[in-house]
Amino acid sequence: MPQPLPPKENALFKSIVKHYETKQYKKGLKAADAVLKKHADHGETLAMRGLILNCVDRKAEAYEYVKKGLSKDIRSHVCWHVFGLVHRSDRDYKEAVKCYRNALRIEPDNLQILRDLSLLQVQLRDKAGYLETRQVLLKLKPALRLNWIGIAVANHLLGRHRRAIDVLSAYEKTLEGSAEPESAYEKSEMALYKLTLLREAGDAKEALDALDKSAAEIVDKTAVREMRAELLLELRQFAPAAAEYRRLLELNAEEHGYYAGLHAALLEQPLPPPTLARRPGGTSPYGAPATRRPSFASLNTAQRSVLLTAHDELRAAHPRASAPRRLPLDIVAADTAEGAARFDALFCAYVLPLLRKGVPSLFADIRPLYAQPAKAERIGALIERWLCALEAGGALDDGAPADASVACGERGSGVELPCTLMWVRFLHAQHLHARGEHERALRRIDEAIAHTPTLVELYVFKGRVYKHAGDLNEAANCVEHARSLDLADRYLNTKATRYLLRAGRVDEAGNTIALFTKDGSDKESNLYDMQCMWWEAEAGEALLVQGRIGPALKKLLSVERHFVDIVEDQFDFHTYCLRKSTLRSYVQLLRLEEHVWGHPFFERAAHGAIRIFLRLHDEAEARASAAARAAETGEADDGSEDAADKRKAASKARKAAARKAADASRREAEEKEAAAKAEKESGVAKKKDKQTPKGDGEKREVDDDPDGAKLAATTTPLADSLRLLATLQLHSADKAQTQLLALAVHRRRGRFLLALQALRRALSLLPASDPSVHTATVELFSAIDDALVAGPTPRPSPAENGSVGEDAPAGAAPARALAPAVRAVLAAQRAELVTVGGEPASLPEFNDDYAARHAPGAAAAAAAAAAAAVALQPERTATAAALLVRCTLAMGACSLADAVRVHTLLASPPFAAAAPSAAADFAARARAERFTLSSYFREATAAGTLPPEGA
Amino acid sequence: MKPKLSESDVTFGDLTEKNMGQLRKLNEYLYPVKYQDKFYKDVLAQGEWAQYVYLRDVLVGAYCCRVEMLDEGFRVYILTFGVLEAYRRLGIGARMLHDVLRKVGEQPGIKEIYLHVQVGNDAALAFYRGNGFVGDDVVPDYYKNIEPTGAILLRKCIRQ
Repeated sequence: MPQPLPPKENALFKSIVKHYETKQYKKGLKAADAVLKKHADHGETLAMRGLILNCVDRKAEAYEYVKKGLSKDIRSHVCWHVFGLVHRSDRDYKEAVKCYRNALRIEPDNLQILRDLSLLQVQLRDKAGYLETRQVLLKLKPALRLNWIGIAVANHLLGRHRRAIDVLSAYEKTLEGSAEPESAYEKSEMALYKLTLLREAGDAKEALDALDKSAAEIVDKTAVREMRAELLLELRQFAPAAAEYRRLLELNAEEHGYYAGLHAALLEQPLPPPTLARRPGGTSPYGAPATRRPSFASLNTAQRSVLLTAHDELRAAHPRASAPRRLPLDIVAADTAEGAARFDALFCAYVLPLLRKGVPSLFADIRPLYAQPAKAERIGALIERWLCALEAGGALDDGAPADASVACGERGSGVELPCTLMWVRFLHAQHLHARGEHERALRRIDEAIAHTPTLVELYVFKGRVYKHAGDLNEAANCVEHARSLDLADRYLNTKATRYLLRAGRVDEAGNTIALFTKDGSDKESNLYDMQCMWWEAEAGEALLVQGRIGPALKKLLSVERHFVDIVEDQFDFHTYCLRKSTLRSYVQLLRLEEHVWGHPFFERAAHGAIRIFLRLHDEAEARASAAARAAETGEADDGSEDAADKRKAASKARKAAARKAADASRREAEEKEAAAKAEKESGVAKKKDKQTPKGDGEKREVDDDPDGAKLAATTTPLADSLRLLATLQLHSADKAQTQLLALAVHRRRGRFLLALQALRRALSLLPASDPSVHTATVELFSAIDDALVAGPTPRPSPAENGSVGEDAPAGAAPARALAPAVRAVLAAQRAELVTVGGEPASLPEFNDDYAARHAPGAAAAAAAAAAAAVALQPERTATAAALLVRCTLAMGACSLADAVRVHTLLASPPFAAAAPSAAADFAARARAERFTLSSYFREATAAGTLPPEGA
Repeated sequence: MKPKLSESDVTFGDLTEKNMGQLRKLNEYLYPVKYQDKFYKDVLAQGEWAQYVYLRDVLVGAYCCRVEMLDEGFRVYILTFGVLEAYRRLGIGARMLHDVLRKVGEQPGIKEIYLHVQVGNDAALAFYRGNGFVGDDVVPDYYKNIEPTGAILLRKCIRQ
């Protein structure tokens, strides 16, 4: 029922809305109270009061009022709209959309509600719904430019490029001769947006024509040229494309993307696809701006010589540019004598001026050349020659006939400044390190330090060598020393923090990073606010190593919260970008947000958190089975055991129960304490808020679980991990680690089909010979075998995706009775995956076969042994130990991490019992022959026992 | 043949609380004396009278002076003045002394500049004498923990 108000109250009601819109919440509440005094049941006023309460952070009351208002006046679009807004502010977008739709059913033409609805739709990527809503808006207000643009964008998102272009053209026609002039920038942006649409539609010819037509009105002249050059390439007009790229190089001779284009034009090839500006190996297309990098791997000799000739000219044309001197080092092939000589000359011409000038990052620049062994060898030989010459007091010989570009401002003859010797020593140390010669690298870098003890880069590098040689503590000391030389350097501070974390010095690391947080605020919340995710991921992992589960989980899960925030942050852009017509960036942003969960930071943190949940589950299992055993001995052997034993068992059980109760009460007490603290803090926060009222009424939420104790106290760790797993499966399914973790979780849940699916995916990403895949396979089928033995059930079992058995109370076996159909699938998969020589095999046979085929690699052997020990019969540990010892013979091919794994296994109880001296022997050999600097093996040989985990 | 330095190869930079570690590192390599925390605190208070010197952006030395008040006017005392071993005999020290003398010249109240050189440090004596410092007086037992303990007092008169 509509509830009309008398004129005076009606005016008051209107003032409530006005106060709300202008954020004068106190006045709004006052006005609402005035209306309600006389009309206590006025639904819309009640709802508005709730809305304002929501803004001043009185959530519970807010919902109460809004719901009350709605119940009084369920036919009011205002009430429904308000209900939607409250849901929206709690980020419950699905509910909010429902409310808006109810409101629109009553008032279909309400612009404000339509606009709010459209925002939610694009945020939720309901692209069809978004288009529909924008169409209604356009019909209602066809004069508004923004409404036309909205339809174009909606069509673009739906992949209907043509339609989007038509909409924009139609709008432009309505503008012709109109009084409202567009700004030059907006005009230019629209033209570029249309060109982007044409290009995405795949019509290069039409795009090129359109570009030539609209070039005059585009203000970003460089963008025009870049686009033109790319389109010419796409249309295989290579000569004009090359000319265009040469013009672009006149503007910027350091842009590698232009060289990539020029190379493509000269070789008459298509442009290489854009690669993300990220570390090699990272492939996740999470939408970062792409850069094109030239790639040369597949070139033949003729092509290489074309490019080298072109670079000779480019060097002359751009004598001060570095790129035309650097890129030939990639292009030239150094595996023939002639090629090697050419490489030497080019390398000298490029590197010597930089050595004389003193460029600390020089090695990082030439590091990619080491992918080709021939070049790495040439570089080593050259550096050693320079070193000899300088040590003898001579000068660097340029090794090549004088080249115009060599001069380049730096002296190329005569004598060298003393710092050059230090830089050459530094470069040589880096070269040795890259070749895995850690000890020689350390000796060289010490010589450089003795020469120039003030250069911080030398100490940072020294730390790096120690890190890779396996002495994390000494590594951290070196970088700390570097930091002490310049306390104002944020880079050094960050490096030192990272190294301290790796060395397990977590508290020191916390104090170090705190030096660069904002003064006055507490460091944890400041780092959280800054979304400092590398710190959270790294610290979480370090805390996990120390067994500080709660804080570790807290850190890792806060990364997840940042991603929620990042997705949330798009909201403002839905209106802003349409209004400002920055559509290219807007669409780019939307695409980025769609892939943002695939970002390595989230991946890393989610993987870590899932590992913690697995560990929590396993620990609870172990506790429960120990308790069950204790209870059994207490009950079962009633008559046969003597009284003393019975008493002992009973007291054990009692003690266990008491401990459990104590644990529970302690946890409760902690929670209470935390809650009380939180309350106190929230009081403080409120006071603070009064002193410094923020415009948007935002307030820091008080963290009621600062150390993650509640997170770690979960009784459903597997269920907790499913949320993360689901996100990973959507966005990082192409990472083997994701699949292996999914397998680990589902195996423990007894969901063997899901586990098998994960194993299948892992096998598509990694070869079956990969140790981690092999271990997972053995573990999974070992569990499946147990379940199959349990026998078929008489009743139909719950569906595989049902929720029965989810995190069953600890102690209950996770293996549920399997349905016949599931059993059939599992048996078939087993026959396919667990084979020897193509024939189905038992797991021990499968494992032995794997070990026999991969024994030379220590990692593979370790995995085989681990699988044998963990998943199979314990009596096989002796054979497994023998296998592990055998891989000491293959030490040369073994990484430090693998060696540590082998040693850890050998020192673990079953192996130590089977082969008592194997661990000590292995450690001694590892230290003597290969990992001389590793602190792990130093401690292992010194104590003869297992060093702490993660050392 | 010695390399010649261009004007822009040698630059000076301020000492700050944050980069004091660099001065500690230099002093550790340059002097047999271990300086106490008080030294570093005092140096910091001298502002532009203490400077790092860089060769192509590599820190290779430093000088630290102190301005002392006289009954009438001021005088400047050189506390430390040194260049890393590998970077000597290139003229960097001369540039540093030139920098100090330029500052001294710009302050009309400064009457003289002086310093102590350990007995036996002939290279240093030659360097300062070559730049107009005079004096032969030996202060016995000037140093406490190093041998020889005597020091020669050198001074250069700036203005009367």
